[in-house]
Amino acid sequence: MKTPLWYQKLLRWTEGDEPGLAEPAAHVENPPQPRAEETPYESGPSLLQGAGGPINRVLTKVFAIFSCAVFALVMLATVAYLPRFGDQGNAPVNETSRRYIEQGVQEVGATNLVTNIILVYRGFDTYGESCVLFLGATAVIMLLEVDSKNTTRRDRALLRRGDELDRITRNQILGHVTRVLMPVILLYGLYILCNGHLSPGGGFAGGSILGGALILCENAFGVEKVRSFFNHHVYHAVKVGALILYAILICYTIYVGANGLPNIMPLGRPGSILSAGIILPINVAVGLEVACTMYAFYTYFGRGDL
Amino acid sequence: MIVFEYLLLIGLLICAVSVNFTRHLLPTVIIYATFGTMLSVIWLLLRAPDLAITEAAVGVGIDTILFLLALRSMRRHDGGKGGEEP
Amino acid sequence: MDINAMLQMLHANRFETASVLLFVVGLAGMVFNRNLFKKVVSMGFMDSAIFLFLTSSGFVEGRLAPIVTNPAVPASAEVYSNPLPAGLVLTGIVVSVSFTAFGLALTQRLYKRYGSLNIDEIMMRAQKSED
Repeated sequence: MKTPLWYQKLLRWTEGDEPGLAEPAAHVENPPQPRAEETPYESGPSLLQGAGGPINRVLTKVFAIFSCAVFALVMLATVAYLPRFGDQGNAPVNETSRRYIEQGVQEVGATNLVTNIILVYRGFDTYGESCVLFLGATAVIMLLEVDSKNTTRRDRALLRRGDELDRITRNQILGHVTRVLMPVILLYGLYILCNGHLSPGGGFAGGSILGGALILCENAFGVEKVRSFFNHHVYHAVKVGALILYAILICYTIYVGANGLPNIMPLGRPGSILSAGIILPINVAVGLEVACTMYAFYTYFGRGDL
Repeated sequence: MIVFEYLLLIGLLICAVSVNFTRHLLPTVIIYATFGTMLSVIWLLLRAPDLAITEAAVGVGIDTILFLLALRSMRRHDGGKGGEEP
Repeated sequence: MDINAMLQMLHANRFETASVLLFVVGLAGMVFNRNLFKKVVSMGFMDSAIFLFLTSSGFVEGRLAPIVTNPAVPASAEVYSNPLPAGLVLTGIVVSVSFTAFGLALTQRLYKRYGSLNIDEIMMRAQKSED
């Protein structure tokens, strides 16, 4: 089957060839000569180290400095024409934020108005952001996973030697201090996580504190200890489960809100811990997601394995 | 209060400038953590405690850990050099 | 607007001024540093500059943080500062951490492949291995 012309052009473009006007058949017969007469260093499309020798390089640098300075001056002049900082009549202090402040506690139920906005009024936005975090963790796993295909034997031996070194030189003091501190850190993380609708904090901060607790646990007690309760299966189950729970809750809120249906989630008395309807479960879901992501970042950067 | 604000803001700028002039990469990470800490105090001054607590947990804690881990794994890879050329 | 009034406005908008300068410093760091690690750090500075700009637009002199202290009485918009920019920036901080992790992962892969963090050297070695 003959591949279409545009697809061949696209392939050649992705391989770094110029998508010239020549016919592809002729191109195959006469493969492009490697540009041997140029040094590879000069032919690179680098911004500052471009072709043309040292004078051109200096000129490029001067031009870059000049444009940075002009950019700074233009932006400073813009700042001088902005409305005065902290003024009551500024444009961002408009009826939108007035509505969020005045109706937020009655409509959504959380006393922390920022939580109201990010989890309910603009919940779809925050859901997309959770997906960005999920994608970031997935990309890091793709890039840094160590297996026999993408890593040489020497590198794997180096990694193993480093792990062995860590195990031998593990600090006794760190272990004892961690044993004392771990309940306090977990309690603090859970407090911030579950009080997101009453006080500053919420899913992101609490989740990263929990992830930090996992990281500390691994440093103090070793990989095997953490793997005994947090392995691949738990990681995937918690992460995907939290994201799906979050999606379901957001879908429910949007469906109910768009159709004017009564919300069956009880709003409770504002200010108590069991209030604000869907915010508490969403915060817990976000916190689990963030904790898993942070721990995955840590393990994949350190060992290339969960 | 204004003096305190100016101290913090100038501290931010000093951090951001001095990163470009360090010879080794470990001071870069430490300067970045200092920057995050000062920024989280600025969030408090701007009446955004949610941002302050998130910046302190995420921007200072997790980012610093990530940078340090990247440095450590690069150092392990080539036995102590770790991309130290500026 | 003469230069004196301009300086006065820059002083009044000091957070915005600092954020603009921070942005330019981060931009210059990304352009002039040849070290990929420092490029990632400079990108973090640029992120923080944007966050500082957005958050300072929500500040209102003499108002409280947007956490309702007494939920029994209806909240008045004249008491609390603007919660909207803080909500937007909270999203941005977490996305910037995602970006940092991704950039560092790419940097680490490049270092393992080419043995250098200098962008010019990486380009040179990449072209050599292509040829």
